[in-house]
Amino acid sequence: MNDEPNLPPNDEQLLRWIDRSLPEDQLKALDLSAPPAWHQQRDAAQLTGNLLRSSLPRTVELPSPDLFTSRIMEAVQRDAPATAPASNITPFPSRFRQWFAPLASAALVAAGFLLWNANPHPRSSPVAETYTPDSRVIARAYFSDDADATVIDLENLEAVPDSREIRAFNIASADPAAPGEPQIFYAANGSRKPVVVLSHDATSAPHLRAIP
Amino acid sequence: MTSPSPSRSRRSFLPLLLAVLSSISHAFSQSPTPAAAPASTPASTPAAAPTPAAAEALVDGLLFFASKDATTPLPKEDKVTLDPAVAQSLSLRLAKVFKFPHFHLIGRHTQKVFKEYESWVVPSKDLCLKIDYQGPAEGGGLNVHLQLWQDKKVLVKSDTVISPGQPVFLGGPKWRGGRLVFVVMQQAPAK
Repeated sequence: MNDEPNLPPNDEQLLRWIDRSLPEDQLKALDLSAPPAWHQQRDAAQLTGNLLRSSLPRTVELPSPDLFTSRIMEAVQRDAPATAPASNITPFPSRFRQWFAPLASAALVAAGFLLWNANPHPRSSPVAETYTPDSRVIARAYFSDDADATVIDLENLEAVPDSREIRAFNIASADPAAPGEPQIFYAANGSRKPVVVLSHDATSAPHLRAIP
Repeated sequence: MTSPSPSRSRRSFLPLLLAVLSSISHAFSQSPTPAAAPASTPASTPAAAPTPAAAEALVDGLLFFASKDATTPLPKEDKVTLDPAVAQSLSLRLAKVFKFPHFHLIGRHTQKVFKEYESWVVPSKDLCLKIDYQGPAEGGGLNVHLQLWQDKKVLVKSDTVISPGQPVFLGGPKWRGGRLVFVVMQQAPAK
């Protein structure tokens, strides 16, 4: 390959061979000359691609990308010790290993999406996947059979100062506001008295204003 | 050609992973199909007047003050009511998880969970919950993405299930020797 018959293929050619996007003649030539280990890697790449295509909906919107990313990172850390001895596997061209990282990443992403889309919550014992933006805060999530409830117990939260009065409401369901407009919530006693106004700042954080 | 060292491979792995995540998230969010995403913010929905939004269910967001003291911290005029049988049942169930003898209901918000809009449950100015509906749960109930907010801060984000009879208890911050507990429960569908 490499335009010179006896030279090994370069990285770009290898990638295009995996994608089967090489010109027909070069594809056939490399099909014949590639060692079995290369074919195995190409099959694995195709499997990953097929898995992604079959598992992902055409439109994916993650309401919380950081929660999703944290779950992927947990999977990476969990798998790290298991991947360490991988140096004993079939000898492989060093540059091919560079392609292996993105392939492995894609495989992890596929696995993550499968986990994300799978329904791991049987009726009898729902559970919760959690993410706390503040790394000091620990969320213990479990299903309590005694209470017949899903529990998300947050530890290490900063206490609310005792001097603070908790301002609580008793309010009725409200329809969503028009885009960019504040949402108004009314008292639950049927008086239609506005109780609290919800708006959002530039970071999408809620801003609640109680109406006296 | 030199071979990348294992440590270099490891170093290159995480950025690549994050790049793949980012590209997938962007690529897929740009392909419009009838199978639209389940939850979105008002800003990402068509800029039309909010005609009655399709609601999936009704949930109760209840803020409890778990305390060793039997005296409620609220003035009488702010008393929040709940069906006594439901209140008693909830107190018993909360006591199995949070080790306090008294659970004072101090805030309540009954809210529809919308299919295509985020839903806010605001029983208090201090703790509120954002719910993104993510489809029906197997065997009933709702798959939801929850975000518990305290002022301008997200305390926790969670993917979970809310179903009639099986609430979600969120153990929040300490306050006045006790603890704030947020309960979200789906109301049984009307017959």
